[in-house]
Amino acid sequence: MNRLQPPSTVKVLCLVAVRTLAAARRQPSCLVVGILAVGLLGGARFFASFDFGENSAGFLIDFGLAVVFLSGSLVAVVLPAQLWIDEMNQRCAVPVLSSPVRRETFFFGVFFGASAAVGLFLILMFLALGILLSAWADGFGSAAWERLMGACWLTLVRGFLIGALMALLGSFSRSFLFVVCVGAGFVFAGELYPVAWALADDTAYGATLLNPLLFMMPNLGLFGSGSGHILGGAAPPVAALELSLYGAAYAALYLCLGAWIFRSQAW
Amino acid sequence: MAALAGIDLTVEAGEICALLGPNGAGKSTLFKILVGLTPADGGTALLWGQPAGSVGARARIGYVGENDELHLGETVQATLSWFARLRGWPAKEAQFQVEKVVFRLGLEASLQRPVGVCSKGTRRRISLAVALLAKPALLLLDEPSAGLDPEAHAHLIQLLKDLRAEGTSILLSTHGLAQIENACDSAAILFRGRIVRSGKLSALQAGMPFEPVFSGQNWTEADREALRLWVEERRLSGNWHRPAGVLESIYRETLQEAAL
Repeated sequence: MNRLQPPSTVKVLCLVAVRTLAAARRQPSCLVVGILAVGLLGGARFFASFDFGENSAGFLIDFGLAVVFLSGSLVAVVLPAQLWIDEMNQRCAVPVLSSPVRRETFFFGVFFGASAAVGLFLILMFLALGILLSAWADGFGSAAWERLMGACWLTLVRGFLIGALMALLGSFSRSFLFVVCVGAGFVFAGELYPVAWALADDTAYGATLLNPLLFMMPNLGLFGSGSGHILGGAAPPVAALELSLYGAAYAALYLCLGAWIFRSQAW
Repeated sequence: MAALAGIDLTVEAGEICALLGPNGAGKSTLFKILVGLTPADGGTALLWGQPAGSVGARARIGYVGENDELHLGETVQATLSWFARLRGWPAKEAQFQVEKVVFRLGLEASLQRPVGVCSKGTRRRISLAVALLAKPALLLLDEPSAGLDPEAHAHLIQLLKDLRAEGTSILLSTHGLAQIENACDSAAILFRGRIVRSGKLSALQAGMPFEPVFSGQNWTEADREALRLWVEERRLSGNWHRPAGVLESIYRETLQEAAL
């Protein structure tokens, strides 16, 4: 009677990713943060009057990057958390997982869909920033555009990495608050990575307790950029390719762990 | 303590089997194990000789859980189209299949509405439509009539009968015994994780102190059989009805026996 052949893994992956991306479009958080961020970028010239002596172009770039960094971090944490909680807590995954779909395929599909949504948000933010800087910042030429796109790439890798961690958290948690709090804590700690290492070395039992934890955590501060780099005055501390591989390695670790946990979940 | 043990259940092609049991008996757990949502702690569960929950087994099953777990912001049309593609229908054929189940379940008016604004009964029908898009050989329905009004319920029963006529095997759990008993062919009663009684309704009824609905007299089993043969020999039209409430009586008696 049944003449249907289950679709290929790649097709299922694409279907789940596209559906997750569509679900992301319906989430209000992304839109609210986006509007706020664009508003702040639009007001950058006003804030430039408080530049404390820094040159105007440098201030505009640093301010813009900070807005994109903060809004991007917020979206990278909150949006995947909402999408995962829809699947886990609202149990939208149940009809999919009772179909001929492998759990790992579904897990990676949701991750790619959520990452694509975060990536789109970041690209749009960087484009908006680039356009504003072209209009307002002196000395923001084609070379600076290229370096800004380089910074955009590293921010995308960072977003992908945070998305992988959110997928790991989403693979077992059914609490939105837990996923958001742990995810935000991870981003915060990742940004303060050198401080955490110093703390671990200075504390009596720090090395024993904190070091294993810190090895599980990437240094997110490496992915940031500043006006010095964008305007060509300073070279980035780590090469983009090396940093991309570093981020991909951590993302792979989180995703493998998440897929393994998700596979054994009871519904 | 095992939630389920030694379950051996046969649902033949084109048969509706009611899985009965009190709350906590393990009905939903059994369904979830069969579709691979809950891994069994031990032992094996087989469907068509394949491990239950395997991709191959799931490809032949349509499952409707006790709750309607759908993306609430998505329109009914988008939901059904997506599941049709997920089940392996090519794009054009998927659209045709969606139209078919929409017509069959009377969802035309809700197509462009988000699932979240649909009534509980409509969501139940959407879940059923999703399961039917699989063209299942076996349909597993966990409390399919929960939240349905009498009209929708009658529509559901008719749909199940139509599916049975098309050769689909249906295993459903329900507490509404009186409502379902004229549709189902067999029943299995689950108690504390074990099937304590199962079989065709006629066989389950044998030995129970019930009279055929057409008699009003003290009919023996031999009398009933003689009458059935007499009707068959003359090829008279008509149906052999069970008296209402038989299934419930079988259920209650079985549980009393099992509890002792």
